Amino acid sequence: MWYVVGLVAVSVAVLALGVWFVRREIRDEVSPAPLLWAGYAVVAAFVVFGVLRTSWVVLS
Amino acid sequence: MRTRADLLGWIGLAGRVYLGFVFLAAGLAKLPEPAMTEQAVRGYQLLPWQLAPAYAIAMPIAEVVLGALLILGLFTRTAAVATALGLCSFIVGITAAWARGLNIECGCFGGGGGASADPTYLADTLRDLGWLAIAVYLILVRRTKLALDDLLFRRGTPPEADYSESSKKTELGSST
Repeated sequence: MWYVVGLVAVSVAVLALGVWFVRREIRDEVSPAPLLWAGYAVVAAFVVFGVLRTSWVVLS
Repeated sequence: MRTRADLLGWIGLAGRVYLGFVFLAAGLAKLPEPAMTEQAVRGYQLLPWQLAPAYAIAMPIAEVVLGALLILGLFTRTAAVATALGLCSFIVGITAAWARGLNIECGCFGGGGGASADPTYLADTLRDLGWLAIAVYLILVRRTKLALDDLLFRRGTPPEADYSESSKKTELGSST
């Protein structure tokens, strides 16, 4: 149980850091905003799927 | 002249090449023996049973490609993001096995994983966290030295900066 709580907490922190990172890149005009947000969406989907799958396996 | 950006770039080069060779070695060790890799993947009891064969083939190929991209410095930041995600998934796999009390070997560099009387979960996790730190550094640093990115996608210098005094003179001279 505590493993899942920790995993979710770390994942939420990683996703929040990802938002900060994407906004910094957009502010500095490193890449186009739609491209960066699309990349972020792919990464976030991977993270969310990984967390859900791992949580389900650990708790079952 | 040495600047802070130069120093960060050289550190980035060292990290890039090191992490690239780690991934290349891990991928090449697993690539010739997909059955052993599949056995190692199944040992974690994390992925659906039907996905293990495809994952056992795709993962070493991805590791080889990412390793090569990092060593060459091609699409460095994208490769670093993919590498970081891969390392996060490895860390989650190892720690989830640890949390469930499984006794398995990592199988990270081939060998098929399998049962182990003395699993090294803490050492494996710390090692992967160190590699993850390098990948995150490569994402944040933006530019590293001796990268193909610099050769193929030169950025940062607007065209005006390349407009030298001599070319101005030539243009003015031709117009008068």
